[in-house]
Amino acid sequence: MHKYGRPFWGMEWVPVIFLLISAHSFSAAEEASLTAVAAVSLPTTTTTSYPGHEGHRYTEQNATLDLGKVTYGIKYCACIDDAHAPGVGHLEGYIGMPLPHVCNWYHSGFMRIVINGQDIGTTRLSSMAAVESGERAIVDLVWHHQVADVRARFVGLPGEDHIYCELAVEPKEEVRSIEAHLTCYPSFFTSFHGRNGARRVKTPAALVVQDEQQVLPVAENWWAVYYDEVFDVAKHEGEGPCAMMVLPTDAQEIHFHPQAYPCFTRVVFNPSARRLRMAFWDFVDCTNADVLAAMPEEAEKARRFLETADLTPAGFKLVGAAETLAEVEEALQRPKVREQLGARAGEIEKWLADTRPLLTDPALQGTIAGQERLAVAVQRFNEFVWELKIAELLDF
Amino acid sequence: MTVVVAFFVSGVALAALSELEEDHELSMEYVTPHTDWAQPYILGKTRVLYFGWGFGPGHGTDTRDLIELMQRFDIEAQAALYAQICDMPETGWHGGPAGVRRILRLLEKPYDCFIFHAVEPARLPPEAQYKVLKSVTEGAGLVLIGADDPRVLKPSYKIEPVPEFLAASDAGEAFSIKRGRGVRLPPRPDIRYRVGWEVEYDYWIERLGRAVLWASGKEPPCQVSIVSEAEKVPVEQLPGAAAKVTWQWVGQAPKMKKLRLSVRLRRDDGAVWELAEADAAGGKVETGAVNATLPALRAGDYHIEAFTDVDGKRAGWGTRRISVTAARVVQAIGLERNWGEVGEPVRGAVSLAGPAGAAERVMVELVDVNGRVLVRKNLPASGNGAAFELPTYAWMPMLLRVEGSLWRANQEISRRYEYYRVTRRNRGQWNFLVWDYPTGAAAPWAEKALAEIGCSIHLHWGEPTLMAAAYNIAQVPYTTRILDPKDERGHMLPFCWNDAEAVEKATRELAEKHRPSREHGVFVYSLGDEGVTRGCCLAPTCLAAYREYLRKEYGDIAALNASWGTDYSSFDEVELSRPDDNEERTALANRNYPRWFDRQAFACWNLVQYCAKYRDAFAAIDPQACTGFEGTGTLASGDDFDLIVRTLGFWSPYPGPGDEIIRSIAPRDFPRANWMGYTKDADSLLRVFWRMVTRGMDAVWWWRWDSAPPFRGLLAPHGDYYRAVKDMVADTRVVREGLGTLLLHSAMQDDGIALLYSFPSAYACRVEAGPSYGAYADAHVAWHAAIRNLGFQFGYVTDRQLRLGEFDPKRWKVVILPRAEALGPKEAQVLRAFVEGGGTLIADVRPGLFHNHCKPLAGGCLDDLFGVRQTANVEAAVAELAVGGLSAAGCKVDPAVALNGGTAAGRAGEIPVWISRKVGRGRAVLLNVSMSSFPRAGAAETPEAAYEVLAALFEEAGVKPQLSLQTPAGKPVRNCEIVRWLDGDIEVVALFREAGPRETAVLALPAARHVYDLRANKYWSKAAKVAVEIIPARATFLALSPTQLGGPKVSLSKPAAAPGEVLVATVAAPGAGGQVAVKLALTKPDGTRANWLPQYVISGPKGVKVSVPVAYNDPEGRWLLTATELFSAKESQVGFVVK
Repeated sequence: MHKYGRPFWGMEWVPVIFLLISAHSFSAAEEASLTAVAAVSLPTTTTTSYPGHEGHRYTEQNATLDLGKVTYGIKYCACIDDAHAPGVGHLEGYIGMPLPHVCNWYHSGFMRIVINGQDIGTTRLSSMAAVESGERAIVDLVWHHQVADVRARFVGLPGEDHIYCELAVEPKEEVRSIEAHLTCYPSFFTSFHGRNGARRVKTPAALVVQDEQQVLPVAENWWAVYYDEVFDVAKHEGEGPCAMMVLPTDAQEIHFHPQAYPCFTRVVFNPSARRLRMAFWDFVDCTNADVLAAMPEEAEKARRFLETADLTPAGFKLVGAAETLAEVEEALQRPKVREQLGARAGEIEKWLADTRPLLTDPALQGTIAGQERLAVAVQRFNEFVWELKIAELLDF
Repeated sequence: MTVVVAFFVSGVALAALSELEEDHELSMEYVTPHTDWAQPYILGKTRVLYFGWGFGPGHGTDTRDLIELMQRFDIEAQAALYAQICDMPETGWHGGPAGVRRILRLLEKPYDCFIFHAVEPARLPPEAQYKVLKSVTEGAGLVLIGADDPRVLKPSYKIEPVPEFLAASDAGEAFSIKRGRGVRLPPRPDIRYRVGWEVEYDYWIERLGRAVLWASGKEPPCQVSIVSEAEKVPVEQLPGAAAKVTWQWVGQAPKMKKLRLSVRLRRDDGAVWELAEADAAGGKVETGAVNATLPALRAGDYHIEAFTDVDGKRAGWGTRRISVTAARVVQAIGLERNWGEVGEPVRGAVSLAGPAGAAERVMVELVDVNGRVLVRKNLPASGNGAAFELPTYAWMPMLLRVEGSLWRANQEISRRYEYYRVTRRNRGQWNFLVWDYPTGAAAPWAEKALAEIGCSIHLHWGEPTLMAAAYNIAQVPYTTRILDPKDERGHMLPFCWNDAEAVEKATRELAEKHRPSREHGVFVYSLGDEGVTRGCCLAPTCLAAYREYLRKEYGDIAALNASWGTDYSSFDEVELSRPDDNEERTALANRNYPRWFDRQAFACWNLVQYCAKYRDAFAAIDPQACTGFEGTGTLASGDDFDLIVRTLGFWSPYPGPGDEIIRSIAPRDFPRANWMGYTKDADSLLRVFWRMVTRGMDAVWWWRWDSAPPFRGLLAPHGDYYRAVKDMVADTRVVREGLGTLLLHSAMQDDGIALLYSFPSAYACRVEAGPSYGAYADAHVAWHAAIRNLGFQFGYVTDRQLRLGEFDPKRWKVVILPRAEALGPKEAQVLRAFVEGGGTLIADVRPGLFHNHCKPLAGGCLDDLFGVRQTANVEAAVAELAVGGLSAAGCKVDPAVALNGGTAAGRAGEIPVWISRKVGRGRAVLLNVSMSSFPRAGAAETPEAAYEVLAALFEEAGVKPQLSLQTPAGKPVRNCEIVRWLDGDIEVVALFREAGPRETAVLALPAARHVYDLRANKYWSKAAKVAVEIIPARATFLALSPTQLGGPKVSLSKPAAAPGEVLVATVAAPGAGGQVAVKLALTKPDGTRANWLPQYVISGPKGVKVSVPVAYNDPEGRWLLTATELFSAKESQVGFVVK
């Protein structure tokens, strides 16, 4: 999608480029385009001076979904000071999108998840994990709120220019409403720089102009491009528009309120839905016209993907294979392997005993909490498998 | 066709490389001197996957070892690099998870050998470890350098004795790993810069290459052995001692046209003698031998090196170390001092040892890093020593070798040297400063690469390196970092800045530590970056200093009491509002602004006084010391720009509007710059680079030479420049070719427009209703944009300059008061006089509502001048401003302004704006609008009317743009700075658009000029209008001259010179109306370029003298000196003969 902002010649040479690169024996660039990589940093805690939270402890944790030509960032942030106990406070939100650009989907809070009128972000994030890299990049954020367990799963595919989001909800009480509250600053932080823009939201059926508020049916307004007529890359201003789509079957209505600075969107989902799917675009360096022209087809492609895709991390599906477990356990019994591993053999055995139920019970693996544990277990299990294979390999 | 394809491959690679791939690129473009030990190799390429440190402290050149290996051996490699994240203790594979995935992708391909350099294999994720080890057990090689893997290199797998091919060069311990081979090498030796370091490094890489070939099962098929008559050969036996070199194929020799054996001798300083060469063909290729005779040699260490080549490919090689010994030797060179300022003599003595021989003589020489003998003196060899004194000159480089040699007749017997530094500071020229210096064995190559793109200064902690001196790179020692930590009592740690005894001791000791820097040559002494610009504490010594400061500020206690609303009877009684309130927050909360401001001003003053103590300490060890700080301070934080510039020797603040103040008020030789290097694409780098040039900096400061992820340095791990750096270097070439220094010698223009930086106003704007009008710094930034978009330039004056009588009213036509809310009576008086004398005073909003200690006044202290009454300190009203043809919504205006003699040319609702009043011969104008809310100059949506109403103010003051930029259709071009410098009648013009579209514009001149476009490399003849290309982030420079530049003229004092003689060249620009930059190039008789003359000189019609030293060992023949004038590109040449 980012090609829209580039001159035509760049597209024309793509096939030639590919052939020439393929001919080169060590072209890593070619390989790089085939994978997507998810990564999550360690959380950091600092002291904030944000008004209303002065001196409070503030935590941040960042994830990236590197799709090759664009990298999306997802940030969790919360004020974790005791002043907010037992919950957490928020400065500007808790799920941010600092990449590809800090504006557009807001870096410090672009989405809030509200169930039965309660913001699930008032509970501290339980975990943030990179659960798949390779054919897809997947990052999971999980909350255990009193109303429901909730997981926000962000998914990116290699070479694509957008990310998908699946909200999973496991209620602990009757669900009367599920909403996603979205915030973006299309193309430019206007007021921050003392500039005036002209915000617009374009859906398949409507155009919402700055300062208007409209409530629209999702069926006819299932995607939206957020742009600014002043801050248009075509005019050498701003960073480019952003967009979102929601799977039309998942939601009922959508509220748009583009203001002079932020643009607010509220998606009202079907309360009975338990897997709610969306997609987000940050069209850095693209012109308004190019994006508006391309978005109907782009949204349609994303819709078709979201309607059918199984977003369960591939590793979660493989790990439970009984034969893999059996192989590992058998290998651990070999004296030379145990000799190679030393004390590590005992550690692995204990871990396997503790984790076996999780690794073998499909029902447990299907829950939010189960997958949350699985995210950690898969990584360790894989490491053990390779350690055992090394031990076997060096047994000569 | 081949050429076309190659072009596309190259272009594609440039376009397609991801950031991670570029970081792992193994570019071979930067070729360094090396021995082709096995390159190209008869057994073909060896496929290597290399794991090593690529990024992190102390590892900056580690990856270069791999490039050097690839230069010497026929290796096709990929690398996975280990890294330490900037300012973090964590280490890991570069790229994090993406880097690990890349490793796994790389491991899908087959390799002949895996190298782990200072990184254990166990640091790989288990999956990658498995894949590496599986490949090794199946036949690949594993080479560990300074690393181990006890799982694999077990004692039971060790091969003993070590195979001959490895043992011949001590190339590590050998292991058998199932079907594969392993070699464990020690860590790379610590090879220090010295004469011949390259030879030691060459041999280290040779050891590594042997290990890789053996581990890969690709030992040379042709064994070469060298047998010398003795390992130690007395000098008296030379020439004559012989060595026998034989070759023998392992197995049957392949079919070949010809086998060539070549034998050479290499001294440990790199000097080479070709000893023998023999060809064999047909049935004589299987084995053979030649005898090599050694020539006359001086005492020292040598290698005999022999190579066999088959049809141009290396089939084998061998080396043998020998020593040449002498009974009588130069034992030492004793120097009285190993450094000196230019002109100071080098004094010392040559010591000899051993029995004296007949007809001995001692020679002492000053030799540069190119091996050129600049000064030579023969000394009588009396006994065991000879004293000497040699002169130094301004044309000499920073690093010299003092070499003493012993001769018997014409045979050199022995030689030793010591390094000597000629102290150089590299001031008075355009500089490129680079943070830190390269480390690791290949560091000198990295230093050379830095020097080639203009690095002339390193900033770093610790002693300056010899290799920096070798490339004439001065130092900025990072001596300390000033922060303001305090103990539980609120006393500064480790001592109060006013504890005279402690400060004196600390500063003196710190200065003493930096004597090595002083000896090398210090551009400036840095007191650190990211420090504080103010500081005070609750210690009694600090309170005493505060009282003294107040005494000087107020003069008498009554004035302080009137300001603070207190009733102290003397300054000795003055206390803080609360004993623990160091920052006088209490006073601020109580709206006692003078008491709060005075504490802030004291904190600024106190920091500067503390820094001045360091300044004095450094001056004690270096009379030419300049001391200041860098990467610290902004206009937004309300720093006392005037006091810092007035007191300290340099300042490189954070980039921002404060740069404009420094360039305006500091002496031209006051060093100033910003740091850059924090982005990765060429345009963003160039934007910062060119901004520094157009802001009148004297250097670019780059953080840093190597990469510290997530940041990139100048050099990539492969040792060459990053691609964006190459682009930046190419685009800014003219700066290094003399433009940068020429601008330092020219006067940046200001069109007679001055802005006032009012230190107390930076604080007054933060209180009462001030914040509702925007930030103080934002007002300055808005004015800068407005003035520049009108085609003007400006300077700054400060409130202190006004108070001290340093303001020259004749120098300025317009003085602008950006949010000058706090003005003292003296400042007000100067401004009144300026207006009465014919000047135009323009204030945006709220001028003079406070006095210069921030005490609120009943009205504005200049209200009468502007013809208004400011009736109250009230919040801004946001209204639609209408003036002239402009109607602008959202403007912040002061609703408390009422007309009182002034005339309003516009309104914002009912509020008067654009109020002016004639006073004496001048005029005062109160816009009554916050400029940060006025339509932003340079923005696409800003209407032309906004420029027109502002332009009218300046036109009425008699200020008109000297140059104008228009579109081809005749409309004004905005968002592009026009910066002019003048020297004589030559004007240098920069057209600079930081961001926005590229466009062609027409530059209109007030009169026809000869125009030289440095970007287009074009001479426009005499023209009043020229087409120019406005390229975002890339400045275009033009030179305008009323007369055509006739080119340089270069002449020499003599047409011929003897070795050791110094010719004097005169380089002039006849007919030029000012100074120009003239590039110099010296060509040797063989047509190659000499690198020891200055790259350029700044000259004018009268010319400048340039020394052209002829070394004692320079080649004889005709030399050519070429002078090329930078603007016109015209050349002049003069030749001379060395005989």
